[in-house]
Amino acid sequence: MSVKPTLLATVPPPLPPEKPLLPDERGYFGEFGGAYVPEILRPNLQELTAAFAAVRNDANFWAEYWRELTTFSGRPTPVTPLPNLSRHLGGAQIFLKREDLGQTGAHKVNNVIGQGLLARRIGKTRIIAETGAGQHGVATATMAARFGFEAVIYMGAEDVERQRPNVFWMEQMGAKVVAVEAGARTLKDAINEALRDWSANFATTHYLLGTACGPHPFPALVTWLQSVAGTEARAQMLALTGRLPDRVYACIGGGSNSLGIFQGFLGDADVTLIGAEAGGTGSGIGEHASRIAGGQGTRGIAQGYETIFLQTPEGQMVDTHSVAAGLDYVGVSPLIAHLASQGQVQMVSALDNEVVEAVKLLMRFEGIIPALESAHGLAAAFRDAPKLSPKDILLVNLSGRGDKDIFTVASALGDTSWAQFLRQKADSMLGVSHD
Amino acid sequence: MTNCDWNLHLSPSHIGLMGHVIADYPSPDAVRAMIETMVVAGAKVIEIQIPFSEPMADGPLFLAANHRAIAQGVDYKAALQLMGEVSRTYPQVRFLFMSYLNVIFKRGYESFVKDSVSHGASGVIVPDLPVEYAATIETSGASHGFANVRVIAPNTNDQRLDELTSGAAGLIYAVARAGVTGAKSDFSSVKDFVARLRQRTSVPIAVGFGVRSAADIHQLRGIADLAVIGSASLQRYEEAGIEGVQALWQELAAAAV
Repeated sequence: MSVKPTLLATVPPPLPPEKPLLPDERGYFGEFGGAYVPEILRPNLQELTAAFAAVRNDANFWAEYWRELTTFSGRPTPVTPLPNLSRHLGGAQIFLKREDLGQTGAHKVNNVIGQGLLARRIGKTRIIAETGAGQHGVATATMAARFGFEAVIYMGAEDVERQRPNVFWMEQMGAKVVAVEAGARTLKDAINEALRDWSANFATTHYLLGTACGPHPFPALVTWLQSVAGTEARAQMLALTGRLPDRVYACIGGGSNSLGIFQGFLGDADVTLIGAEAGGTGSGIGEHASRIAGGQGTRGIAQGYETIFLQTPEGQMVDTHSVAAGLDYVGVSPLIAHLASQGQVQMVSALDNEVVEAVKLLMRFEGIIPALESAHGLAAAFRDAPKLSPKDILLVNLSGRGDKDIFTVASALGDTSWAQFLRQKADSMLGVSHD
Repeated sequence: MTNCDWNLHLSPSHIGLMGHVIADYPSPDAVRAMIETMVVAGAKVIEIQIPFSEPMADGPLFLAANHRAIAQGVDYKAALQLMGEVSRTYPQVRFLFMSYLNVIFKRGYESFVKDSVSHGASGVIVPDLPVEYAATIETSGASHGFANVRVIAPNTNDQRLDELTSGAAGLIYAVARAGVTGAKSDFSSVKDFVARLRQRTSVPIAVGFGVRSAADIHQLRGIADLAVIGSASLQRYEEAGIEGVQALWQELAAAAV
């Protein structure tokens, strides 16, 4: 594959988007969005909307944001060519945007640092957040420790069970982790619980929503902060290959990593943007979290916004499943719903087993351990690559690293020595003797 | 009494009682017994909640109850049937639906209003429907005298209070405090809040969130027109069955007049 010897360091620091993706005065992107919250939360959303408008016009804010991103989180993240895998699959050349290399190993940190700076500006002392896979929770906990906020993280009880290592690290950094037992015990229930906390503690507390969902201004705010990935990636692809990629892939749970990378290319008519949802184990209700690609999602208004939800005809949310906790969400960013409805983003899904296969391929051929979430984007790209020509260039947003998934991946690969190791480790920590 | 008649015949020295139940929860028989209990105790208004899977303004008790009701198969149709039945049996009481917006949105705003009116409901309370998105339901309700009961919070500034009270129909649901349903409230600041509302509107004012006992009713007398008893009633049922609910409502009724 042809890669120009341009140094990545020559790519200039990203500026805020020239045309930020903003909703209309009702908080809508086309037919999706809004701010459907109890009246008690309205002053908070207004305060946040005003603060967001102020910092969009304040170069000092962006400079401070960028300083934290470089000195704390290691931005810019590189773009990595995948020559071995591209050769193995045949067809298109594949590149990765390496958001997995940021502080705490996922794109989540970008949003967290930005909202942390914003919360400080509006005088909040306490941060609450929801988390699915735990990545947003860990990122929030690191930021809170560094900036001196009290932090409470709401996490579905099922996710707490699936992602114990992330819970451990959050607690070690001083955050309080609350396991939410209500409902399906996953991300949507954690969001409900965070909104309840915010209703009671709005004066002191900033709700640091982790994805481009929820009531206005969160979708626009998170999208704006995540733009760094797309702006960097566009310049890096031009520097590396001399042209824009043909297709850009990203996994879509709530939508923040995809909106981050897609923003760099939305104005480029020749770049196809592809979002990969969780196909889970099949197309039955409760087997997947494919809201748009599967055609099963319908319009609804919940969790503060209007979008496409997986729900019954009467509007009750249904259970979802994904091998990746971070994609297991019943709704999707109103901005993604809008872009998909306009044909600006193509939606596909990847099955759990395709995703595990993609993880294996990336590890074996390129020595990179992807998060199960991000591997949905990889799976979609790996499906397409062999059908394309070596002139075609695919860019995949590797939104997170996969170390956290060692339990799930080891179990999916049927690795018995890992299970034995866990038993021995547990026995030795608990002082159990097998003599 | 027609749907359009919002004169609740409240005596200024008394306070009206407003009850809340979840449709067919804990069971169809139990909810009917609870409604009868409330009517016997003199309730002026009763809310019937159509359960929703994501009830963001509800605390732990109602959250769990919403989920259990859905699991038991309580649906929109069951709620309508209950509404039709109790509004006919107790014409002296005004019945409201309460739900979250998605349930209504999925039915369609106009269809929901028609269904509600034809089953004897006088209005609806939707905690996650801010007034700027309420035009469709309010317009379609207005021709039937069907009220979108606006929920107003104490942390609201004067300009917003003007907006919320202007065009308010039926009654106003004033939230006593921050947070969700179920927890205890300190009503000391409610007097000022209600006074700010009364400067702007003559619509009856119901105070809810945390009204749990006769003592709370005493505190609200002379301030609010109605006191809303929600979680306390269901909690009493779960602890002591229908006799517990009867005892609670007798105490509340004694404190109200």
